[in-house]
Amino acid sequence: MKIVTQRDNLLKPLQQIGGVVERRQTLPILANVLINARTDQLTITATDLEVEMKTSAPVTSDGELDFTLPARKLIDICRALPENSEIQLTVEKDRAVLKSGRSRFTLGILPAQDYPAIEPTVSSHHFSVSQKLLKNLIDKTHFAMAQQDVRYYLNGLLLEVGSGIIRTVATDGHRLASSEEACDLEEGIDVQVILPRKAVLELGRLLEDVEEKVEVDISSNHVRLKMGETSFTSKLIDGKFPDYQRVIPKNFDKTVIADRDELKQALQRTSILSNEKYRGIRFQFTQGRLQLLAHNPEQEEAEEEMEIDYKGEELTIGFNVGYLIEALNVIDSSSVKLSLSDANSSCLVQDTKTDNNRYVIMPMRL
Amino acid sequence: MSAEKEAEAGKIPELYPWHQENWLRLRQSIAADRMPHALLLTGPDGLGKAQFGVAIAASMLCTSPADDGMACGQCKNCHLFRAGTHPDYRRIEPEEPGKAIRIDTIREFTAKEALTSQGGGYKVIIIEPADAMNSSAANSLLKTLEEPVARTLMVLITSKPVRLPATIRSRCQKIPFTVPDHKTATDWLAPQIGQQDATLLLRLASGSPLQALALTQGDALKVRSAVLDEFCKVLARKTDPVSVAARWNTLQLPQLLGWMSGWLIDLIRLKMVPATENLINRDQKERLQALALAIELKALYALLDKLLDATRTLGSQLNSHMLLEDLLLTSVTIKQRNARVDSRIV
Repeated sequence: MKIVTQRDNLLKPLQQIGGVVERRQTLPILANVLINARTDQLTITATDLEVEMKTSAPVTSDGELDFTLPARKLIDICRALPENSEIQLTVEKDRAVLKSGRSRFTLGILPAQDYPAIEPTVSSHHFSVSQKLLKNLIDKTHFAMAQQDVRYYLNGLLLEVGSGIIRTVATDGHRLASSEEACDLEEGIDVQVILPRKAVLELGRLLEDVEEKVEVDISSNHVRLKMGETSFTSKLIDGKFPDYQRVIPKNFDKTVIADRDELKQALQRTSILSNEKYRGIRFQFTQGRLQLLAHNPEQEEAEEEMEIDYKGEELTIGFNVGYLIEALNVIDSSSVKLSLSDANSSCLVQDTKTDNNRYVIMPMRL
Repeated sequence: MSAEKEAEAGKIPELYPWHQENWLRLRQSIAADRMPHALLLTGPDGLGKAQFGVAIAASMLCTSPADDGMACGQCKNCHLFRAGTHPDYRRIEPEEPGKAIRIDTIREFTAKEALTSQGGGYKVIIIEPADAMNSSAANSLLKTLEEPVARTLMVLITSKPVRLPATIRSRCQKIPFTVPDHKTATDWLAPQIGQQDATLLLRLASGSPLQALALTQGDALKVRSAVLDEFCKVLARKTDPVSVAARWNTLQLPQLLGWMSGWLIDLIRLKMVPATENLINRDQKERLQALALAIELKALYALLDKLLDATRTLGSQLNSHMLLEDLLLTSVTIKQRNARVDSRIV
């Protein structure tokens, strides 16, 4: 069977899905991509058993055939060929011959029926949103996901869809990030799933800042996102996300408004001399003034002072400065609102313009 | 051939006759929807525990298992299983035989274990040999072993359950495998070995039918009688124990030590009841009888103790050459006391 296409038609989709192919695989066949050749296009699938990506490339083929080819080698060959060259792929019994100009490559193929591709299943929930919206929700929260926590349900991002709202929540037990957006959803949809860390990071790269829609299908085992020709499927974390609503403080009597950039820079400076492991910084709020204090085991000290909008009584509280800086990084407004009650209660960090993004940070005992 | 190689060769292993009882019990658990999430298959080597484990895995993953509970071998899941690429099946074993299963391997598995299965059904994981997990690996498995996500089956296989931490053992349902009774074993073995003596083979293999069968393939039996010749010569001080040790060091050590302990046990039996028929090496009776006359009972026990100690150190870092030299030099000294009967031995 013979398949003919342009080098660039093949290279772009291959590079798009190539990232999924791991360098060190548990199964040899995972180093390959699955190719379903049809008369006018190829569908290319790559998986690492956790996430799967599928895309297609326009070709002319004189038959229909499913086979697998080594991903990395195929990408390297296509990339090394001159631009706009024509590629001819001939598939025989257990060999594939790739010809272009005066180059000729013979590649080993593995049978397509051995490839552990995800079978299409009936999705129980379906909705579509703009890529931009979903990307924004992920960007605003993903940093708070836990890493290799034994509470495996924290090693991912909660995606909650229902009552006209899409929400993402991530927490590692010390801080929590939650972001939501209202949008037109199909009637009656109400679903909560935990996307694994790897899928979240991959999606952050994949989604673009455009208005085009992404189709989301959620089944009991998988979530599938379709963007144009490319589809991305991931397994889910099989667990129950903690009740995050209870963690977000509601009763606080102290509200601080500060300039976001000024606060961030002050924190960054002070953090230099904080304990490298715990990164604790002492915050002293007095009327109109915030004093930051840090010291490390070598008895070195940093002190910083800035003006803030605060009218409550004096409060001294400790925070891990890394958590605060990460939250400030994703706040869009020029000023930031901190809501506090006492030195043992968590702090709510928010945008001053919208209530959609909330960051909760637990205090430290210093 | 190991169970895994068999699965790779495109076969789902069959069960042996002595597996049936355990298999039935498991099927009842499945039927009653009371399948445990962790099984510990224990019992001596050579009973096909690994095949049993793979058969359970195949059966749990199969879309439409046959009436006897075995995987159908036809469905898409069985195809992937045979190809060794089933996404919901994982096998953990040491990177090299004899090495430990490391914590990274277990951590990587427990991270993935929290994910949903690809096919929507069971996820099956086999850890073999489970006792190869070092203590940190075993500890990192505890949390998952205690409370895996739904529809997960972990199968731990070991012939040395005492080497597993009690915390691991107590979290698994134990499925013990025992040496089959003589009739079951000979019925299975006899048709496969032609004219050879099934009883002798079974005794040499400590009752394990698979090991008995393995003895008939290759030159194990020839090696055994050559080694016995040499052992007798060493006892008779007709050859140099150090050079014999060097030669023996090229052989399979566990098997060699097993044979030696068989001779010693037979010698002790002959010492107690000179006319006994109950011997492991019943084909070597006359030679052993002659030997028995030449050695004191106490010395035999001492040597057997030493041998059992040596057997326990197998698989450790101990220098096997020195171990053999030690054993053979001790053998020479026990013989010395009755040096006058030399001529009757060989």
